[in-house]
Amino acid sequence: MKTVKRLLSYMKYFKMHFTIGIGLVILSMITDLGAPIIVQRVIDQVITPAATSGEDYSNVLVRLIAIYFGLTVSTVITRYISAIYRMRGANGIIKVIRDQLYTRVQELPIHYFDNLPAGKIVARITNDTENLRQQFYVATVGQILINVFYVIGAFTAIAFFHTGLALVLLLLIPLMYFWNKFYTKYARSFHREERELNSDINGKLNESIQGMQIIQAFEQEEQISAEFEETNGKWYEVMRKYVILDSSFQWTFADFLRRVSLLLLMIYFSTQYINGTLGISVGMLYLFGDYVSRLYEPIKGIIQQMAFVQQAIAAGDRVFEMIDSDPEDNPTDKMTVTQGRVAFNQVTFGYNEDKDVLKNIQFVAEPGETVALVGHTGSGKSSIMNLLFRFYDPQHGEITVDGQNTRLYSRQSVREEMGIVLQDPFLFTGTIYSNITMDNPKISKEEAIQALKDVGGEDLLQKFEKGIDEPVVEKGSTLSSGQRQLISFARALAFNPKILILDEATSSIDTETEEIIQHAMDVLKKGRTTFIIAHRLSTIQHADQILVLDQGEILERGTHDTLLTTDGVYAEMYEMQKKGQTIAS
Amino acid sequence: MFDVIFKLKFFFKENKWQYLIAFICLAISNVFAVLIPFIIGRIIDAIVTGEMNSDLLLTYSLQFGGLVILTYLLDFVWGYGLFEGAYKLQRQMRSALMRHFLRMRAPYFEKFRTGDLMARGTQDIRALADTVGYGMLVLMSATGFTATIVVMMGVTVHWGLTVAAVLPLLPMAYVIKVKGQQVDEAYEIAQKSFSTVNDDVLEMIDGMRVIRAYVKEADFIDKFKSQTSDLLKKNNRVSEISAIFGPTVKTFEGLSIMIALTYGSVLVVRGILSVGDIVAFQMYLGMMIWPIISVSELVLILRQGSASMRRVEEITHATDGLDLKGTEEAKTADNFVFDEFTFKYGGSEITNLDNIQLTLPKGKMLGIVGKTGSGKTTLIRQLLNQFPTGSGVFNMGTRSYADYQDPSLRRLIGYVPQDHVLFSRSVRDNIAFGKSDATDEDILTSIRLASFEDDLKNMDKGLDTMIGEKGVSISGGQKQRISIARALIKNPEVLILDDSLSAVDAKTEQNIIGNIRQVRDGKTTIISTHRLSAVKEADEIIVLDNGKIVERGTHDELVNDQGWYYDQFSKQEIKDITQGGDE
Repeated sequence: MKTVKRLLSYMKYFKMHFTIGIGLVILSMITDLGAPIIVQRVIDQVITPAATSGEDYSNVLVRLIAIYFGLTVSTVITRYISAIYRMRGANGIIKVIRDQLYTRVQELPIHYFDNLPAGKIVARITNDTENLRQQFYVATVGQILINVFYVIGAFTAIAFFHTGLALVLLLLIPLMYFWNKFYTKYARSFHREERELNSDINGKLNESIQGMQIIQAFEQEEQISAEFEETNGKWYEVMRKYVILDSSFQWTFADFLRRVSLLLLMIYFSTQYINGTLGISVGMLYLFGDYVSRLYEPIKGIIQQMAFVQQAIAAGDRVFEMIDSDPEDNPTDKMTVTQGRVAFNQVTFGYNEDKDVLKNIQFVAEPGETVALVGHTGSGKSSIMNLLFRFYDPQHGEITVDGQNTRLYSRQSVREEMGIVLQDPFLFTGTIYSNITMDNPKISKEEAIQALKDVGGEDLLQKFEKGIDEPVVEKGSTLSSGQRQLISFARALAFNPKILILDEATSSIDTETEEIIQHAMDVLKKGRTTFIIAHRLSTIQHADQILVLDQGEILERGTHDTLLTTDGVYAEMYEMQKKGQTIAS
Repeated sequence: MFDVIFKLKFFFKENKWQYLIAFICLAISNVFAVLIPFIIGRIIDAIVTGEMNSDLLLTYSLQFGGLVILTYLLDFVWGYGLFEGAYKLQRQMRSALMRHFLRMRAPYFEKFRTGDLMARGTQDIRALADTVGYGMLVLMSATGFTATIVVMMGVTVHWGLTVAAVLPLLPMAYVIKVKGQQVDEAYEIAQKSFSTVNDDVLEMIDGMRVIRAYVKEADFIDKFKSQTSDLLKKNNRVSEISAIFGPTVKTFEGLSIMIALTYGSVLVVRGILSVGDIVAFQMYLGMMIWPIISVSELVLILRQGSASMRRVEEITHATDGLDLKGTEEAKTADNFVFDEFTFKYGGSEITNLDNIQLTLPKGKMLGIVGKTGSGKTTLIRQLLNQFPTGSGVFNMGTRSYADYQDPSLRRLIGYVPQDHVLFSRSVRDNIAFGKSDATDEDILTSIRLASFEDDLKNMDKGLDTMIGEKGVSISGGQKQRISIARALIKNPEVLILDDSLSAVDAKTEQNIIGNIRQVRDGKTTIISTHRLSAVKEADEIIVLDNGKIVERGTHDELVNDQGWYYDQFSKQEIKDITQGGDE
């Protein structure tokens, strides 16, 4: 109920649309329900007298038909305008909700995304909201509301002409209620089962296509086919039951009830006639028949749409859960970086409470220095980068840049003077140019080209027909990983940060690319404090400081030469490599 | 347009009784449905003329009541028949498609993207089933029910009045059809804009760290807002067109009723019609609306069904172009011999394997190295029968490889692919994929050999840990090692590792290679790799470049030759520290 209230509260953004929309719906309902009264008049004042007297009441007929025409035109126009306003309102609300979600996502802490696959977040911003649009703002607020108005309108009209009949028809309400309850109870559970099985089927299909070579190599075709058959069969069984329920209790049942009501209506008035007390005309009989029939259409609609409301509420819950997620704390003070001196002071950090991935880390990177981080998987190298960028904040200790505790300043201002090159460089859809500048108007095309040349990407400009304006498709998938690296290096260079973090690519790349990247890194390092998360020894031999990390602690530190003389872990690693080298040379 | 129904003839034939009964019930139910207004007309006439009495009322009531109950039962029967049939078809087609997929080899899956196959296998099959369920119903009511009502109106009331009142409903069907097409077009445009929004959000989430690192949040929000504004405009356009439907129906319905009333009263004055006739006629008109609208709907449904049918047929009729007709059972592996062997992928401009001369004696280890795209994987795939065989000689022992029965060959081979493929099930089931009767002991042994022991210890539920979509996410290196365990448990006569150690660090790689050498002594092993340390111990190493073998020999020989291999080896030895890419 809370969710429904909140969903309704969004209508305030489009108050005018919904006021006009709903106001006109009521108007069109009145003119629409007025039309059968005219037919009743025609029957009673023209046709019945004509049948008995054979006289022609054309004056009355023309007048009544003219009124009928007026009512129809009015119904048509109001209905059309109302629909447009209501749907515009619904479309507009969804834009508001989508924008809110998207904006909120920008403010959520990075760890929010750790456990949530990208697909799920996308589904909330696009699919869940689409669901809300169609099933709440169009179906529920639109259709159900209209249908409720119609039911009330038809009842009022019947009561106006024949109170007794209206009272009897009131009995329909509890009947409808229980019918609805019974139907939705089963329909909902079938729906749920169907959705689950369906996503199972899709998952299995997808997985089988992707893993076909393996399935075939391991001769598991029979097994996979049998498993699929089983799920598919279960799905069919659910659908079969659903068809039974639907064929017996949905539209067929509504038709049944409508006809039974008509029958009872006929029996009731015929009996009154036989008893000599028929208080109504034939036209009225027609009118009641028409109204009773009209009662069922909206009721049928309400029952059909009720099934969707639940889905809309579930979608709304997911959407609001995201909108209500706490944004990360973010002070407004802006940090200014002049030198780029970075210090970690007794920093302890864990992604969750029970396990520290960094313990008491302490080091200083002087302006312009290159600091290399070395260590096994899980040693904490990447976590240092995450903390420096304030993607996460440490539990204990502080990180300072030029003596300022980064935690006390806005995250954006901390990042402004930092550049990053990720191991898997991420490119956005656009052009090479837009990817280097990230649409920053302060960076001119010439500067972008220069940056790309400086990191050794001149080839790229010549290779592509459009040079720097060459389009980049989703994730840059038409470019090689070396080319993507170069563009992301150029991006870092163009932004000219005081502090730079390079996360080396780990996967095997061919040697030529490797050399280009090595060169680019040398260019980038000049004049800035640089951190290298190293996966290759050759990269870091000239580093001013090498920090050897193990299980979140700094095990050794020093330059390449001093570390070799200490005969520790680093020296051991190096020796191992050297042995290989002697064979080669 | 009706071709979809003809193409599904096999299905209707298979279920002919079901459909026959459904259609008969539907037809009778239609007749009954129109008899009800007829009886109401008679009741009214009896009242107007004063003939109504208890006996007459009882007769009419029983007829009326009987019709109501029978109609309900008939509706249930045909409703079940038609819609159950649709779901049955959906199930059947999906299963058939899955079986087709399982028979297809790599070239087939290169023809269609996974997303495309999925869309056709799910949405299109559903659309087809809708044609068979709802579409059939619409077809029947558009033709059968309309005809029933028209005949009823004409016969029991008046033909002239019927024609006059029904005629204005025909342009309504036309207007709805035209507007329907416009809605479709506008909808498609809106849908494109929606896809753009979808893609943008996905890209934003994937690139979150870059966006934040470069402080571009505000720019992205602005860009998104202009995207949603565009979508809003296009959605509004769809709404504007679709809002016309209800009012259109109302207009023509009103027109029809006005004609019926005016002309009807003239007929009553002339004494041709009774009051009851007029009332019944009004009710018939009310029943006509939906079937007439459905005529325009029918066109759309059938067109969509045909399009879906085409799309589904495209993937069921497409094949991988492979002809695996070998009959000889391969009981045991033997030497592999390539002689002047040349292969080209369909549609490829270059020769992917060029004049390969190679003998891999049974029980030896072969190393394949070379740049990306040099043909390493292509050569391996020949053994897996995933692509057509090339020209020249490719023998196992003395017989051509193609002579052997495909399943029996696969039984001999254990394969670890380049891109780690695991299934969303437990670690145990993923590894036992290679050997369904494997004991836990077998599984643990292969885990040890694949250096996955420590990782397993960190998994909460051990072997029962679910991986993939419904379970924990694991790193690329872990996936590779599970893949290796899966191949090792099979203890195959031929083990193939296709660059399957790229994401594990050098130390782990050495462990695994050491284990493999140990357990596979005397068994054929093929390793393709970028990292030369993995093949140092091989009995023979070949270097591929542009599909040709450019260098060959043992490690020491190749180092002595001072060629490409030597170059690579010198560079790689220095760069590897004890760290791979397990992050």
